[in-house]
Amino acid sequence: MSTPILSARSIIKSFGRRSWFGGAGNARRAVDTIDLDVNEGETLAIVGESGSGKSTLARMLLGLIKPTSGEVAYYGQPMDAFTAPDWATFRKAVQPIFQDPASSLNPRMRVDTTLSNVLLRHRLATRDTLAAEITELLASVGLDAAQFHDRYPHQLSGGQQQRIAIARAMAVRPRLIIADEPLSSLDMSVQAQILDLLISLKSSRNLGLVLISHDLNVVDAISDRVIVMYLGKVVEAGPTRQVLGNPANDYTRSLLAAKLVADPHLARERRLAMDAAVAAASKSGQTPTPDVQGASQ
Amino acid sequence: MSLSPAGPPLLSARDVKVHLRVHRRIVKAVDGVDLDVYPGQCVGIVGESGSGKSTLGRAMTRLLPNVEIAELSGSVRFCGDDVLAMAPETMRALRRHRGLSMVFQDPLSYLNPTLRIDRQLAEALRHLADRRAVQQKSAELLQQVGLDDTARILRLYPHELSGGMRQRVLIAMALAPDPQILVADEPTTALDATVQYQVIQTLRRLNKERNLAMLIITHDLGMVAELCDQVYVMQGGKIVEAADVFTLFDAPQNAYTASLLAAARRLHQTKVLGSAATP
Repeated sequence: MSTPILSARSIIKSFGRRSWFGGAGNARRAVDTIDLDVNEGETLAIVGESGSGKSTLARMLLGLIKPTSGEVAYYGQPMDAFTAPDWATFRKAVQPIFQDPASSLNPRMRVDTTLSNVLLRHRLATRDTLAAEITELLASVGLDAAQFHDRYPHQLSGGQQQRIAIARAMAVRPRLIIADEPLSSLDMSVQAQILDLLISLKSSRNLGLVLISHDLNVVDAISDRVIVMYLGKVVEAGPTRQVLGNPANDYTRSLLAAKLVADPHLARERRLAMDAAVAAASKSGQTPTPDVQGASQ
Repeated sequence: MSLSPAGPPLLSARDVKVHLRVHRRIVKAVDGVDLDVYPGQCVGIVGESGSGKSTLGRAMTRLLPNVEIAELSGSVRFCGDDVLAMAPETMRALRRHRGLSMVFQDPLSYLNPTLRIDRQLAEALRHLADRRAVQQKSAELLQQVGLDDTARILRLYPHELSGGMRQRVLIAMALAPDPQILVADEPTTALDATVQYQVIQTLRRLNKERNLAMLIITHDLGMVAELCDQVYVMQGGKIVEAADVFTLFDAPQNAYTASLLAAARRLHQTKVLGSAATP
């Protein structure tokens, strides 16, 4: 494969103050020595619970914060050596989508203003082509321009807001989107729609995607590779199918065991199996470990 | 686990309407709902945001804000007594002694940030005679929700607890009056997957071991599948389908229910888990 779009080498981010004498002080490593590559057209999922450092990692990949040590590179070029034009290129090629669309859209801007600002700033449209571009963009995220172009964010539902945030990210024809929990603030049926939208966009545009999520169901549906984070470290990484199908790490296993299934029959089987395991364990005097493999048998 | 309804329902709603006044318009948040919860049963109300499920839950526990209500009609009966018509003192007694408790979505906003957990639990245990009894019962309640390190947790402030611990502390507080029914509005939405699962298991255990009836309000059909016996699907203030959990998932009668299920299956699909999840 060619050069990855983004690569991180041994990046560390610590928060808190370091001791004056060079010791660790009360500094905590939110991200602790992580390596990763994101290739063109690939979806990499970063999984972990809150506090595992996945959002901090995303912010470093976006260049919003600098790693304490280590290096993030865009097509092999380290961010530390970026000039202003490099940053402009990078900001255009790598776009964020955040969890809460309401707070990532300007409440005082209409939908068309939000999108035209981006298009004009990056010279992707002229005054003449602007309207057509906006119509097309909105169509690509499944919204009718005639109906939505003059709305303000508060006049949109959560799902519509997230579609606008996606349209804004897509406006600059990025190579990579970094999405931090893009679904978790949405209703379930809307989650399914946005998930399908992301899947269709990434396949139709050869878009790279870094998806931060604590929801394994979403990760399962969309990603090619997955990284599982726990307390700032990568505890497991590999192709999604392999990691979720045959997890090697205990934490990954517990995440899988906690995955809900939309099937009462299956849920019941799992419960019965777990009750049996608990009963057996208490009989033999051991602590029971909930295990997804065992639970489904 | 699904109980066949024997005897009268513990909590029942008949033709409940809650119409709210929003910017001079009337919003029919709940529009003619019938619903029953039998002793020991776990009932789910599912719907998307704006379907009126939370308003229904609040009407049934009489926790609606008074100001915005344009119409509140119908009857909600707890053990035969009309909750909506009750005098405030009777309602308070019902919450404190005979057992109707609530748990909400965001645990942090329901805990007092300036008080340690022991003080907040003690407030829910004011009916107990002396301090020793309160301490003992507090520890017992925390253990019931799976928080075993009670001595330490009781001395902590809410901000020192994780999200899952906070929610379990709130459930413990809700259990203090020894309720017969627990109404939980999106009890796990703010939580991580593993923590969500722990809280669901805690609720399930309470349902089973204490025969505690539950009314779970959620948008997550995965949670319904995990926990509930009976399910009501709500859309636009009305119940569009009601069935036991197996019937609802196996053969939904309503198109909206079917679309919710399709979305949930899309999100809860089990394909990669192949060996682990397909029986």
